[in-house]
Amino acid sequence: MNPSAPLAGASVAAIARAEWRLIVRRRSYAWLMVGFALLLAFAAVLGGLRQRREAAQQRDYQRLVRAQWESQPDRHPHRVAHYGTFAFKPVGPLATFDPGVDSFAGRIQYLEAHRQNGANFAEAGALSSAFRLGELSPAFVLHVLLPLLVVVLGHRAIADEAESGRARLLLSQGTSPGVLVAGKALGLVGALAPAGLLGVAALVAGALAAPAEAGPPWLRAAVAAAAAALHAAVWVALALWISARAGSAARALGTLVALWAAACIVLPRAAGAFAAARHPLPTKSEFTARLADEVHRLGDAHNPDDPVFARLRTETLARYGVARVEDLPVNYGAIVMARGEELTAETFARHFGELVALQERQESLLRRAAWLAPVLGVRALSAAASGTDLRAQTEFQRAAEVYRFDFVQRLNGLHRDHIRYANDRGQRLAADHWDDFPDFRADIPPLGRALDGTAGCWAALGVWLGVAGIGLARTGLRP
Amino acid sequence: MNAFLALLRWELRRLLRTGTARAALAFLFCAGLAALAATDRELARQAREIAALPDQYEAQVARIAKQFPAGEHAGYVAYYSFLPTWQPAAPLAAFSLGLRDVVPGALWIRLLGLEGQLHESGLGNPAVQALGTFDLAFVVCALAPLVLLVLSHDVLSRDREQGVLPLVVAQAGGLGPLFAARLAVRAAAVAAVCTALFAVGLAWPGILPGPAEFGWLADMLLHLAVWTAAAAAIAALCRSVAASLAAAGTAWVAAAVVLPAALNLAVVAAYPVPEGLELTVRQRQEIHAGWDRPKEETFARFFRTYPEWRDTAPVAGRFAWKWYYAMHQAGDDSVADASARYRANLRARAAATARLAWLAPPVATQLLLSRRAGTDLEAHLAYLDRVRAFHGTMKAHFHPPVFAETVLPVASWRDFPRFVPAAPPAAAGTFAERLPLLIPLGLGLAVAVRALRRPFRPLL
Repeated sequence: MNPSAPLAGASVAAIARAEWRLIVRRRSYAWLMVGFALLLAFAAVLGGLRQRREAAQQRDYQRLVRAQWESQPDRHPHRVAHYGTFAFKPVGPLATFDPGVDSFAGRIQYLEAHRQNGANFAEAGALSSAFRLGELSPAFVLHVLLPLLVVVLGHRAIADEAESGRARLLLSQGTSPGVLVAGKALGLVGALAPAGLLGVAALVAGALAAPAEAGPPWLRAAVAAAAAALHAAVWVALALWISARAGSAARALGTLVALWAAACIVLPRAAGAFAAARHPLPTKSEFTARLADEVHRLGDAHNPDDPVFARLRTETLARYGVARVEDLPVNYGAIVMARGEELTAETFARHFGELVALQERQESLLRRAAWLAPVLGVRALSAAASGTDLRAQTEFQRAAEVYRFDFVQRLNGLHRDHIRYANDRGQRLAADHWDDFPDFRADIPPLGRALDGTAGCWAALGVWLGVAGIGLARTGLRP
Repeated sequence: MNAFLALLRWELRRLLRTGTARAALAFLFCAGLAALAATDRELARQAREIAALPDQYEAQVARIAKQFPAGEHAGYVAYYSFLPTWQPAAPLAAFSLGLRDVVPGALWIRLLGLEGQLHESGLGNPAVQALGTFDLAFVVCALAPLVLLVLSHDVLSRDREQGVLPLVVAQAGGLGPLFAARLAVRAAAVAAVCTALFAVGLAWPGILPGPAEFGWLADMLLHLAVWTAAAAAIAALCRSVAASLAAAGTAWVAAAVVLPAALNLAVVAAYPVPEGLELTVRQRQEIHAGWDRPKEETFARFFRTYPEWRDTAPVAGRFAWKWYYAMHQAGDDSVADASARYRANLRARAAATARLAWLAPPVATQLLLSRRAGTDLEAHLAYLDRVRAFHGTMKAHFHPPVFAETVLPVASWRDFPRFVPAAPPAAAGTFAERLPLLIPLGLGLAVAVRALRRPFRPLL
């Protein structure tokens, strides 16, 4: 055993120093740290390269699409509405650090008249089935592997002392159990410091790699760091608690590894499967069929006797004081189209809202599952802070639909005002109109809104830390 | 032999009396049941989607019929007609969901340009999907090895540490039989739990196992055999419980958690697939450019793909449906190379993953199991190929009336082509694809045997 450990009335600092020395002098320590650093570097570098490449490609295509938009010739506005445009999902500020849901969510959406297309090309559809075993990212290393490092380095802290009888000796010589535990915890944290610094470095690298618009997202990085640190602290307390209770280091390690595998590997998947089963989502076909059915029942613009469009006609004629649509100073066809667009957009918004509500219920269930598996808490917080969570995806899709609606209605307005009713389709509108259309812009939810509804995750992590800490403080270590 | 059987019986009784073993095996069984239930729910959802397709299609036909009660120009009807295609899940998907929950199981296709219709994401919740699948394949690939290692890493080291190993060996009639018996009962216990889960998964929906099912079972057992060999090597080499525990833990975390995730990142980073964006944007540009081009130009390109319509009358007026569909064909033709590159890149990614599977047996097994279940990337690409072929059938059906400018009466809509689904291609995989499993298996056993043969050392 360690000959330099203090014997009598030792201070927290002395115990911490002794524990730190004990850990860092183990042969395995250097290997573990090197392995941890390499893995983190691998995740950060490859993830960063991939992210940068995809962001650059997306920027190029965004520019190309804009150029194609502006170089349109004279066209009929409705032709332009079907030509449409694309919405590109903005890259999350910390996507390099924590890709969140990015690999499973479409990044590009085709926007056109009458139709709400879904987001296309999620990475997950372009991968082998082995991808379902996991995806490496700096966040994964900090959320899943750092706790394992804590377990491996910390499981012996108190168990060794108890096994060798030295704990009893220390306590009988005037060291209070609290001091012993605090010293051990401090020593362990000290030994973990290099891993923590590496994690911070990965976060800083992620923040520096953020899309340039708003500058490095330091506050977001701080939130992600705080969540990861809190989660690591939970595992420090758990490791020491179980180390104190297990009786032997081997038993402590076995228990802790089992706990880690259950909490970090099995429970998140099980929780996901449970959430999916608890709040089943409609399938794409069901969603589309229900939407089409409802839109159809709203009214039929082609049917002169349809009540909705008959009313529109009467109202429009009355407003302009004419008897026939042909006599209107504006293009009635465009007015009908705009009304139809309004009706379908309303219906779609309602159905999409219901779908999102279900997804959010699933997500909130996952957040509540953080009380069982704290890693779910840190995952949720980290993805929210990184701008790569479900909300960022949903807001992108909502913003894309809002943009689509405005864009189509604006074209319908041009159609109404500049295209005559007679020989409607044979006319074209001058190309200089296209330049006035604004580009699609979606914002990543600002940090405040992103963290909305995550109080439970902080609470779950805090309570885990509290419970493990209290358990640790009340272990059977008595003088 | 009888003595060995007695030893096996004794060791099995002893194993099942320990709390850890019972807890670990019970945990494995419960996790497996939960995984089966989760997969069952997801597949039931997908089956419901497929079962509802005919009704949804009828409803769509009825809607269009209401709009055009007297029938309508073939081009118009085709424009509004989305025809359902789908990929039924093979029974084995219940064990290995693979990509089934992230790729669409049904696509509605119309006569317009095809490429843009193939890649829309489903409505799944990405926050749930990002957590990973929870199916029996995951339980077998990741959890069962953990349980196996926990149970068997210390078959020698514990007794050695307590100083009773020589005694136990003497009673068992030799180190070899003792070691073999202990490892065998542990491997058998884990294999029995996994096989029981497999049997439950078959009995639940009442599937009669055929060669495919037994093949899946065999690959699952092969995977467990690899880990048994790893456990044997660790147990024979490590002298203390702490050492064997550390070795077992490292092996599992590396092979089942870290390496698969790292390999996936490496493959994604090394094999970019930029064609997705490319073909989407280019196809739109091509299709719509047709509106501003002379019609003859569009037709000239169309006739290169479909020379049989070369003699069609030129379009006199502003618009004709045949011209409209020729524009869409031009869109598809213009991205045919990008689409082929896209698929080639996906296959290159899958091939790279398979090559890297040498580093991590769970990856090799996951690929084998999802291949047998018809839930891997290849199965999805095969489905998309069928959809492509069906789009060809649709063109063959609609081109004649579209070019003849025919009005299709509502009654004729019954004759629209129907998609004929095929079971997803499920392959057993080759012997070479099992080498990433067989070689570690042989190596592990060789290491274990060599370590045990060293005179006296294992006992001390």
